[in-house]
Amino acid sequence: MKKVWKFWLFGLFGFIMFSFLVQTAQSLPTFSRKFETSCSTCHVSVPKLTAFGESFRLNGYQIPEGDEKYIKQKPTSLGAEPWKEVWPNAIWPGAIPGSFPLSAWIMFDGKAPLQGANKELIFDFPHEVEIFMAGILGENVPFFAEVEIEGGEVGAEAWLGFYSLFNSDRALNLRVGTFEVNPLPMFFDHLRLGKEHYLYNNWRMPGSENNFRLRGGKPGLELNGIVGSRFYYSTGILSPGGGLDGYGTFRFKLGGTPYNRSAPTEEAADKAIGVLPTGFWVDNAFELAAFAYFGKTDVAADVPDSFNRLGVGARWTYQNFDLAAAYILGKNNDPFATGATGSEVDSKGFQIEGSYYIFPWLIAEARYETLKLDDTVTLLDQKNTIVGLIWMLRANVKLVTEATFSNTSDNILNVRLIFGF
Amino acid sequence: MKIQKIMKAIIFALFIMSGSFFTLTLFPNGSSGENESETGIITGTVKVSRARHSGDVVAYLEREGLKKEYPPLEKHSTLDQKNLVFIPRVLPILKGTTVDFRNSDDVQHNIFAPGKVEKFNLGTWGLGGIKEYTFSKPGEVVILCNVHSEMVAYIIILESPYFAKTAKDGNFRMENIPPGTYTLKTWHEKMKSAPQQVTIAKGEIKEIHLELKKRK
Repeated sequence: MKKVWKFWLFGLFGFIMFSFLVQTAQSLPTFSRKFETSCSTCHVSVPKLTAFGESFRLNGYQIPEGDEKYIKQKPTSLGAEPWKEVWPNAIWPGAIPGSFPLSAWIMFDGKAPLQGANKELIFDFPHEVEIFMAGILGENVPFFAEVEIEGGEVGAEAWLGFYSLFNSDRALNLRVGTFEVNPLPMFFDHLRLGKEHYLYNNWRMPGSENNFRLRGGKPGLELNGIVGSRFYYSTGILSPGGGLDGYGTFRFKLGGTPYNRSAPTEEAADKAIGVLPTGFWVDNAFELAAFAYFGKTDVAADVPDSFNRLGVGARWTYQNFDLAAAYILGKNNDPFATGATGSEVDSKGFQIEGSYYIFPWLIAEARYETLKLDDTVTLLDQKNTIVGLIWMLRANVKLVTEATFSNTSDNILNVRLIFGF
Repeated sequence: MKIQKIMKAIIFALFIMSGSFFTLTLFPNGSSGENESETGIITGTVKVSRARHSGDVVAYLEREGLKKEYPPLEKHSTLDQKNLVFIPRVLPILKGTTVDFRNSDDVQHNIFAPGKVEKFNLGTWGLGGIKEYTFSKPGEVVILCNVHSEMVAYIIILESPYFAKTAKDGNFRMENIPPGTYTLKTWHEKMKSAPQQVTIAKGEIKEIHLELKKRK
């Protein structure tokens, strides 16, 4: 217990010192530099997106109504626009970012068990370095690349998009590369608010050669698009483990900012007149989503394990509240290569997460999530409760203090400091 | 003889009427109406040390006993939000002036003043929307957009109409100044004012050069 107190004292000291040290930090990642705008234009708390940020992402890193006039860092032309008229007797004109579009996020982690015999404190400074490159190569050609360096290992994701195919006004877009499938937007692991990964997105079949999990980049092709401003779909084929997987998602949003707009409809706009403004995160809306993922991978020589994951989710955002829930079912036909009938393993997951903006720089979060794996007997029945506070020390400096209570492992206090530039 | 007198009277009346018409056409608000030879002009430059340019400095006159209440112009001033910046960044106005806050972007913007002089939030709205606010207290009002935290504008509310804003090269010009001795002050978002006494005579064009240094 004494060490836990030391940990808190150290953390508090570090927090205060860091607050002073970063007084002059003005560093802003790629898109901030390009548009000369703050991180908070797109993120309520990096990486979680605002409604505008989500529209920007879904529209291929472009402001839906056209972003040319907003760009402060002009791109370098790879051909004047009139060359389009000359095609196919010329290369279609493009552009590259005005400066190399490089950003970095660095994470420092610390954790301390809240119970059990082991009271060791662990400082993992840095835990992870993420280097991003993102932008557009001319209108409707977005790209994204990420290199993660974590624990001596290096991972990479990269994709190139061709949006608004056949002049479809972003109703038909193509992505090629390695990217994270976003099964339920309200639980998109890559854009989560806190530190802990979502249980259902993160789990792998214990004791199986099938290492599939929902989160993480997978190579493949994806078609996606926005239909009628409030309906979004994506479908694709992936090849994460030698086999060919397929998936489909859809989402539908009522109220708030439509997927193909930068601002809410006139009816939904904030007309409140008062002393303090409502938060930049406010987007009063209700969203529904569903997904299906089908995959197959070999778990032994010539023994495939076919599996599926099906889920539905909902998110309600109102003023300072954000509440999301999801129910996910799965089935693996033969994860342990027994070859016997009745060797299926069913999985069921439920997760609910709420957050409340106490101040623009202080967000409270609470999450409850379950995962149950049933063979002939129950293989796993995990229940996690996570409570935390997210401190935005600056728009690009974030501190997460989070306690995780689990019935399958020690309860843990996590602290994560993230800064980006 | 009588006809001559009547003719003289008609000509005199026409002369008076034409004079009135001339005055009203040139000074419709009656804001100046002062013969230029009865007033003076201050022109000059402001140099802002260690800044990218010398624009957005507000130069204004103060004088003890100067008439305190000037009727604000009926025409509204405008503060636009365009391409994610406020235009203009610095807006000097006479006390009592109404400012139209316009959104000329596709993205939504907010108008929020957190300061001590005026504290208000006009809400958040989209393209083409306009909301107005009348500034009745003198001083500096910082205007922010809650959606884009990098955006900032300054509205400087002044008690007399004798003010001017510098261009990027630091040049400014104030006209129709009644003769007298004034204190010339400046406002800049980062620089401190360098007040100086200025005496202006009828018909005089006074040239002034100032250098502003950073606030400590």
